[in-house]
Amino acid sequence: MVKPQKDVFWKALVFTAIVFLLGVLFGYLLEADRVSKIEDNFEELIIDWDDAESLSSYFQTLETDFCDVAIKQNLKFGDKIYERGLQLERYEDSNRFLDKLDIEKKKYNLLKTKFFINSKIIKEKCNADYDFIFYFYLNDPELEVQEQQKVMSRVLMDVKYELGDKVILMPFVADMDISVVDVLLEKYGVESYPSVVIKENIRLDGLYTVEEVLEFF
Amino acid sequence: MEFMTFVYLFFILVSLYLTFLALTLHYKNRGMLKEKREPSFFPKISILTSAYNEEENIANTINAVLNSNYPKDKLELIVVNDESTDNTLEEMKKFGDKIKIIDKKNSGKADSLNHAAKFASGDIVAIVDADSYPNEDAIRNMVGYFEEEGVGAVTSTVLVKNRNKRLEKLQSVEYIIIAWNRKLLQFIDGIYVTNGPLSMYKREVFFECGGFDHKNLTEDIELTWNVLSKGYKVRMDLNSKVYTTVPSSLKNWWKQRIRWNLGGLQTMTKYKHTFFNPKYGMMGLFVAPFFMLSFFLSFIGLGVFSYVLVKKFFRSWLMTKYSYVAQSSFLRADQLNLNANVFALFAILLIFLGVLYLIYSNRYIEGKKIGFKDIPFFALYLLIYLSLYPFVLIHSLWRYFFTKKREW
Repeated sequence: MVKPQKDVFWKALVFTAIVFLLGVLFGYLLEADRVSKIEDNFEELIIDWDDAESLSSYFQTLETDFCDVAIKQNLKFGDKIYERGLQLERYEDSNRFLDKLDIEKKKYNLLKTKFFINSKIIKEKCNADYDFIFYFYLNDPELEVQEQQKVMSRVLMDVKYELGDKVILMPFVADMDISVVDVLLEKYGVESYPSVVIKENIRLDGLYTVEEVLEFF
Repeated sequence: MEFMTFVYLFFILVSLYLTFLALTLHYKNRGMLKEKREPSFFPKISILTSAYNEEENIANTINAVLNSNYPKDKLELIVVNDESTDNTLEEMKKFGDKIKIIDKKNSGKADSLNHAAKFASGDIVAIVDADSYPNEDAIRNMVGYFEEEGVGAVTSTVLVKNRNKRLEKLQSVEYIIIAWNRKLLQFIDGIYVTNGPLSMYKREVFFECGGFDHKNLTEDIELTWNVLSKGYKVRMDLNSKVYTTVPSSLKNWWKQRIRWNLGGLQTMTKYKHTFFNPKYGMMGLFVAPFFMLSFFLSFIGLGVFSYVLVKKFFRSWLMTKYSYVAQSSFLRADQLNLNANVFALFAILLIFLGVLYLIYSNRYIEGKKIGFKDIPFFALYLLIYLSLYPFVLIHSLWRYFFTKKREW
């Protein structure tokens, strides 16, 4: 004799609820851990930045003979902030609950603007031979622009690989309401994305090949 | 959180629930899955078979039934020749007076079986498809279930006979899973189909239901819903095995599945009054809504899957186009993102449970030893074969709502 076992419906529901909630919680914690890692990275960058900036101020005000060290430290910081920026975007792509890390992005972009100003000062004071490549892109554009941005970002990575310390690559999110970025956008007349500004005077809108970009160096 | 995240989470939740429902049912009834219900007496059984151009199979089917270990004097075999154009009738005649032959004008399987039932003298009416071969103890094993109060129909475990081609092998895995699920559903009175290859009905229940609905493309599903809606129980015996021939080509497989879906839709429409109606017990509260939910989820699932796929293709196309313009490689190792997220966790869990389910049910029903070599085949089943279901459903819905084509 088999009696209908209606209790299995709620038992299954309880198991499902437990596993589902645990999974969601674990997923959430995983993402929260990544965000916390980004915050830790940022804290570390701030310390590095303070170090680089202090060193830079010291040489600017007291010791002009040690420009090489200041340039080297500055470039090292540039590589680090660029690498951490890429990591931030990868984490953002993986997240499902905390899907937009806008605040963290904004902090990184602000730090990049400070880094740019510092780099520019060092370049002038120490007569450094590096050039800037500004890369302006949108945070959340339509699909076509998104894919163009991805391709252009790869092109610029290859350019950076080719030129090494001769260039400082500065990717800026254009639509995050950051004053210095807004000033740069206006200064270079950037209206469409992706857009690249080479040596602070050549603007390239849309897609270009590595060779075409390298021609300007 | 994006809208699609909610959609994915919903599908994960439903998949988890159905998995845990099966696991709970299995755990609770693990000792009863293969129980043998030896009958205390042997009622007379009339076995009905309808054949249309089955010259290659009919003799084997008749032999399989006649070789049953059920008392021969309690067994009656009525075979219908549904105006075959081949040698089916001649094959039937070779059995002489061991069987009763009805030779009639073609009217389809359901109508032929109803016609044969009129000549049945048994207390139980059993249906055996003309291309199916029951094990020798199948009929005896099933009969014991009728001694349980309120049981109107008993069905069997259908397994695949032809297992040479890959598509046939995939169907053999599928049939095992279907049998396994069906047995588990028995414990919540949720069996929604008594299969065509071998099922039995109490004579009075069969006639109370009016036999098979010849307008329905899946007369076996319709009759089961009819039996359930009249308050009878349906049982299944895992030990009673019947081997059937499955489609060997994708074209025939597709055609068969379209028919199954169309029949399912016809049945749902006919019994829509039972949905969520407590008057019909588990039929109204579980079978009908579960059946509809599976259709609905397949449909929505295909929509989501198509959206994701189309978006992915469009992205890839754009990426290829722009990479070409910028003369940059469109695939790079540094673009690989292997960071885990909540979907990856659930996907791993569900695939793991799915593979375990496949391995366990295969071992349990067929006693097969599953090794690592079978994993790629199971992956093919889970990832490719099952993905075909929603496409068949779309085609079926199109046929159901926009064409009048209703044929076998």
